[in-house]
Amino acid sequence: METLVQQQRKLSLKNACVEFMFAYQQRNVDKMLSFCDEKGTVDFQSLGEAGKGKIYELGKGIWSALIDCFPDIDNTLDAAVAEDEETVRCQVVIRGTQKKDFADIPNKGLRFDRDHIFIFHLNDKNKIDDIRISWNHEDFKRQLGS
Amino acid sequence: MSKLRVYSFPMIYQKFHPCKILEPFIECYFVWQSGDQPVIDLVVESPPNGFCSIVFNAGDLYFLQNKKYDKLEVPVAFVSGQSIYSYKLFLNGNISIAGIVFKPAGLATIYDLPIHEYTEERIDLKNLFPHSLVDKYSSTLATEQEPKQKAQVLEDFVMKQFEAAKPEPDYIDHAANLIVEKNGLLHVNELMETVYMSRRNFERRFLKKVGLSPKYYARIRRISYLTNMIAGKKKVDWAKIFSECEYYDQSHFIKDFLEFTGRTPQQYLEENKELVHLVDKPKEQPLD
Repeated sequence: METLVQQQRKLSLKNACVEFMFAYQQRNVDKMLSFCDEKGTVDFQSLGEAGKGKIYELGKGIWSALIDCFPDIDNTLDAAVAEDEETVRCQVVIRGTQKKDFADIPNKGLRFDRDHIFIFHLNDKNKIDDIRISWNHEDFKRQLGS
Repeated sequence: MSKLRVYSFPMIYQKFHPCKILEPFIECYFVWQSGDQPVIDLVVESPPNGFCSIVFNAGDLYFLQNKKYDKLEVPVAFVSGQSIYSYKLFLNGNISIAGIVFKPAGLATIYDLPIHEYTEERIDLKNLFPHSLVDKYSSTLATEQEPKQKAQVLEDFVMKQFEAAKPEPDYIDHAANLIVEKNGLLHVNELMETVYMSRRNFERRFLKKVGLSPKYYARIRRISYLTNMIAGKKKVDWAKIFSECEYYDQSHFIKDFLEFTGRTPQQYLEENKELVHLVDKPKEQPLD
């Protein structure tokens, strides 16, 4: 049986992830990063090798670009489930209207609305030290007319 | 794989309706007891139903299995948050389980708990309440023999907090209860018509009180309604059911069904081990 301490730990680590998603909703990248370890890693899995890097470098760059190119970007957190004592899985719907070219996707003024899975790993200080994000990139591009 | 056993002795599963004042927060109380013999290798499963609960087990320990846990020993007294996956219970010996089933936001409103933290968790009540209080009610429930008396003990447990906190249902309670009332067959925009706040703010508050987003919660309630419709049946008209549940196409229906139950509709019909196979579908009884 899980101990009371283990259960308490699982409850508290969900909060950092939920607050991270709320900061994303506010389009506040600095606030998002404040929940992360400076040496943390990120993997935007649907982008392959190009999607792997540091949260404070690649993560900051991609989220800033997304907010710039999709100024009304918004998300809905459907559910946050602790997979173990260090990992939380967040099911999120992200949506937004394109206003600028984003990476290889030219701006056609279209809107996307897609399910995303964020898997957060937290260290013993409750800081996010790894994020894996997956989504259907082909459908994302299709919605944007690319 | 364990097969469903057929028990010749009566297994008791009864539901009781709360008093008027607790109706906005409590769906029902339930009491589940094995009959005059212990059960052997009993497996009972449940799809997500959209309700949180507080459960006391005065019988033998049992185990839970779902997408997340292979075999979790369930605490003796616990809070159960929203489920998003089907789960199975593995029971042996004496069953004596009693619980409070809350309306979707009821647990948060009465106890001021951040319910989004409890999704897919069974949290020991001793993490949330004084040990002496949990021990007192566990012991009283173990002593009481009659289901109705047990339900009254459960009502007393909630009433103590209700009288201390005097909570009022808010717009999140109303919106979530409306989703239940409509079996998930409504659009989030309909909910927004009666709440005077931004969609973002509404969704955040809903997540914190119900444990899930409104849209996701409505999807779970629809699956719960659907599985309830087919519970105990051997053959169903799927086309009629997916139309009644307002799925716009068959693939959407199957995708949702797979996501929440882990099986296709036909597999579910053939293999499910819901409690309804072992007991008569309970009618809710009044407590007084």
